[in-house]
Amino acid sequence: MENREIVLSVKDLNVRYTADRGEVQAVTNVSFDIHKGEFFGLAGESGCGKSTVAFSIMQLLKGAARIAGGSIQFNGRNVLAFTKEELRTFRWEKSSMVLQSAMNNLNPVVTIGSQLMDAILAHEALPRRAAQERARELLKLVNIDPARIKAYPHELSGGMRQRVVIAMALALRPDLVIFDEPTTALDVVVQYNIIRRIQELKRRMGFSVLFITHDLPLMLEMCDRIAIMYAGRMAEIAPVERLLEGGAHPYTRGLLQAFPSLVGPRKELRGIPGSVPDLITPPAGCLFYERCAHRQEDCLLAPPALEDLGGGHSCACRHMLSKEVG
Amino acid sequence: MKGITVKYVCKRFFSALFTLWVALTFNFLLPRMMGGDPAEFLASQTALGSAEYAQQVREQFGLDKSVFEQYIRYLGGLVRGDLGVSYTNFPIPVTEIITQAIPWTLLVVLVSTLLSFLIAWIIGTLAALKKGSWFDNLAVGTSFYIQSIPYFWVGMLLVMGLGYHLGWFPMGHAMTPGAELSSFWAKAGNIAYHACLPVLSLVIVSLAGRMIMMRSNILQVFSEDYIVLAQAKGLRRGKILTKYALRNALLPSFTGLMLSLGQAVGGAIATEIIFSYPGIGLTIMNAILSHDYPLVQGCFAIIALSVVAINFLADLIYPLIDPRVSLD
Repeated sequence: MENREIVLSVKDLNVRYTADRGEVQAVTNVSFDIHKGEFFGLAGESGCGKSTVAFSIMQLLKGAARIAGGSIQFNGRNVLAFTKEELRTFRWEKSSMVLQSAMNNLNPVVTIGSQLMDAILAHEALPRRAAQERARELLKLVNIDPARIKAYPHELSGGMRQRVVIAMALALRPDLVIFDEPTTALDVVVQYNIIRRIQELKRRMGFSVLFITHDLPLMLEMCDRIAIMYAGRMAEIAPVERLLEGGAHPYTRGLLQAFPSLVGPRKELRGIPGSVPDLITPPAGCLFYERCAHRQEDCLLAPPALEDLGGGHSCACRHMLSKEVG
Repeated sequence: MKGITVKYVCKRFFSALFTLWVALTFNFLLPRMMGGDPAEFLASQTALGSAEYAQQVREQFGLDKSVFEQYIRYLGGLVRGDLGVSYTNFPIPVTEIITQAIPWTLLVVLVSTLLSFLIAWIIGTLAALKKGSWFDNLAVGTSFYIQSIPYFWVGMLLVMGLGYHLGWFPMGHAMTPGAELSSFWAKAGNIAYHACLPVLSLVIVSLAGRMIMMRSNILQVFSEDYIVLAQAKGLRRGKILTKYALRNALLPSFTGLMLSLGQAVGGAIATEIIFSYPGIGLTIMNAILSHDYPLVQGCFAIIALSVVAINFLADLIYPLIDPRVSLD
């Protein structure tokens, strides 16, 4: 893992939202690397800033949001310094994205074929015919009958629509595909099929994946490494094997205990009591302090920094848990 | 699933026909519920004013028959395109009066409706694109201000200001009365000149609401996920704006446009009164004041017909521009 080529490198990313009461510290000092061909997960509860990280990478933040510091390197190039045209080609050629809601990702009054072709033709000077042929192949790639190329989004099921978007995301063979909760709006069976398809395509085409979800069990099944965010900060980044042993951060431990396991022995599910602190006026110390079962006095001093534990594992906690605890 | 089927067209057509029949029936009943006996009224207008004269009028126009018989005659006339004879302009047929008035109304209302939508779409889109800028604030602020002014007052201000005080535009009529205009262009120019104020007044009052609507449509579309995805796809700005934003934002406006066009024939009564413009509106007004049943009915029949016809047309066009509309 360590010696593999790095595709995406996010360093000390800070994102702020301007609100009426002040600035929301939506993302604070977030750093992580994604290697070539890696299936990287980003987990955390709603509002923890995981989607904001994704939108920062694609430079799609708008309105009240702004990047207040840090760097995003893609294949060694600084994404934040791109000119308009460089950004336009970076989007989709290098990094593509599948957004949250399967229902609204596609323009309802334009055929799916035309929307697929738009993505291709915006980046490659092809005759329309050739682009259409490519669009057909892309549909085949995600198991949709190419004859449906003339279909409108409302004529497809939610799962098919999301597969169309996935096909679109792969149209230009990008190095990285970001999935921002791609299956939240879909039922479990469809969800499973889509995840399998993503894994299979990744194996075949070799792109890296940044997979964002709050569904930790799903992630444990698919990812190579998982990053866990809490209140806009990175709590822990760990290889899946390490998380299956319990993780080192008390928050990670809490999350792992909050989900039922289908295969393991029956165990009592435990939620994490309390709620996320206000990110406009965050507390001085560790943000998880209020809810932490393992808190100690020195946790109130300052937010802990992410500490490298080797083997692709790092954790931001003063009192990391050993494997046995929990 | 795609394309318009014969079944769809037939269904829409018969539904339109039914609507038209209901409207025309009300059209027959309403003037009769208005009160006042037109025969007495006509008789009182003459020197005689006698009961015999009134009775004669009743017989002449079939008003002595039962309401049902009058209704059958009325429908029969409509089918033949015969709207009867005007009481007050006897013996001129209603159709003739209407054909003379309609072009003026259509000219003023169509031009102002199209202009108003076009300007509203442009300003609304620009305001949405520059949301929060001085242009946006100015456009929205002015709109709310104009929106609160009653229409007749705008019309009167224009007549007073641009017509009477400044003398830039004529204060009434569709053409200079009694003017000898030999060439086609001189005539067209004269007509256009007279249409300026009525059109301007209609554009001013209708612009604000349409502009605000277009602006909010665009803003709403901009917040959709498919716009974010279009941006993420690296599409050019112009492409996103036209194919992904404008097209979707214009759909609700299209309904509004068709409705306005449907009302074009009868939609400008106040305008025509203020500018003494000889269109359908002024004709209706005078017909009502003089209890001229056939003329009132004739005008309303034409209005009903145009509303239903345009809606039928809209039903045929809408599935072509919005594939989500069900054709069943």
